[in-house]
Amino acid sequence: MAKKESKQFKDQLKEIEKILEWFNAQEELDVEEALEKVKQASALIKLSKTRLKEVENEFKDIKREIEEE
Amino acid sequence: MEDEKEKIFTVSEYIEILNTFLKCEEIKLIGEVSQVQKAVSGHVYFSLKDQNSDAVMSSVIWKGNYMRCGIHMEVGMELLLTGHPQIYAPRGTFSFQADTIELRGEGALKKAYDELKKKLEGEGIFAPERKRPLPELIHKIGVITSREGAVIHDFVNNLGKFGYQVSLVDSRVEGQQAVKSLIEAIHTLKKKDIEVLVIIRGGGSLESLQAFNNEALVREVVNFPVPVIAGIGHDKDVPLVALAADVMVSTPTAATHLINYSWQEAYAKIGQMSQILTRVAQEIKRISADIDLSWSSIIDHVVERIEAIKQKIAFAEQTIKFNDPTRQLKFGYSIVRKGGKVVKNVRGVEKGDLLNVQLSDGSVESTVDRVTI
Repeated sequence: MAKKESKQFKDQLKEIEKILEWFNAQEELDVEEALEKVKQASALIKLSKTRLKEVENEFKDIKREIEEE
Repeated sequence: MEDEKEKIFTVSEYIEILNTFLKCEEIKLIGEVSQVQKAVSGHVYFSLKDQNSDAVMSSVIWKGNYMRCGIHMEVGMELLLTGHPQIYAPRGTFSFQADTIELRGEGALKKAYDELKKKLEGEGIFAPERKRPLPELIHKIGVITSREGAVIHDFVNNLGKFGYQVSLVDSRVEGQQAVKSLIEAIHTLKKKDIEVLVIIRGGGSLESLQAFNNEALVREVVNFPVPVIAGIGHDKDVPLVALAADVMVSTPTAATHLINYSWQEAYAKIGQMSQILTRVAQEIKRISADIDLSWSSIIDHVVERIEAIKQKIAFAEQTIKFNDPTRQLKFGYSIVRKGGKVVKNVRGVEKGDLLNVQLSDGSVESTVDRVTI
């Protein structure tokens, strides 16, 4: 995984983490803000899932290559 | 038989017959030199007499034999001659024809030894810088010694099993008579394909080793085309042949050790190399096992990490879904907006306002008829 992509992925996970913390911290949910956060979180989760799938496939390829040697 | 008794011989025929009889057996004759005449031809005519009587024997030694013996004959020397008597036909004189002459008496031998040693030293014959190194991993060996006796057995028994090719030339090794035999042996081996020449014999006194103090033999050794090892046992005075040889040892067994040495060293090196290779192979195996272990540990780490992130994302997905306000719409709740902003209470809502009501499957636009608190 390239360095830039790796940083992006880490940042996305951190952002998700922050949103979760935000939800946990709310005693009374602000619907408008909550909706905004849900939107953000959904987008980040989608990106993270895609990236994680790519990483997993890349790793499987490397593993197969090494084990075939 | 009758015919033979009556036969009449000519002088030459008779002398020839006599000489044939006289030549039959080799005679050893000892006496003191009373007169010496060295002819221009190189032959030496001399008289040998008993020390305690007047008996005299006219004698001769031919140039080749005289040169080989390495003795400078002088009046008063005590000599042991080996040869046979003969009648010289042109003059009818009787004389002893010596094939070899050797000095008698320790004093005379020691004197001759010292003189020759000094002479050869002066020529640099024994100089260390003249010595040739022995080749490594010797394969073809020329050996000169007596086929009889323990010496050759000691040599053969101690020579390692390294596939040597030994050319043995049998030679006399005792007394002055051995010189001729030793020189012939050297000439024989000169023609053979050998890498080293070994001359060996057991220990002996100055008298018995005098062949090895012979000048002609020393020069043959010095001029031999390959290095020479001399393994000649001795008491006090080191034989001159041994001093002139490229390497001198005191026993035939020591000579074999010299020859075996480079082979034993080579085998030891092979053994060491083999140990090193085994160690390298073990190290490669160990490193390979370490790499396998590291690889497997890396795989475990990565799999664990991916799994952890997956779970984290799944958990986040669940939490977000749970906290999504639109989820409540399915239970009959709705979100009311005025001018795009969520209406949380009736304050700010007036009759006639246009409100947007979001439901689970769509939205409704409505106008406020009445506001109650």
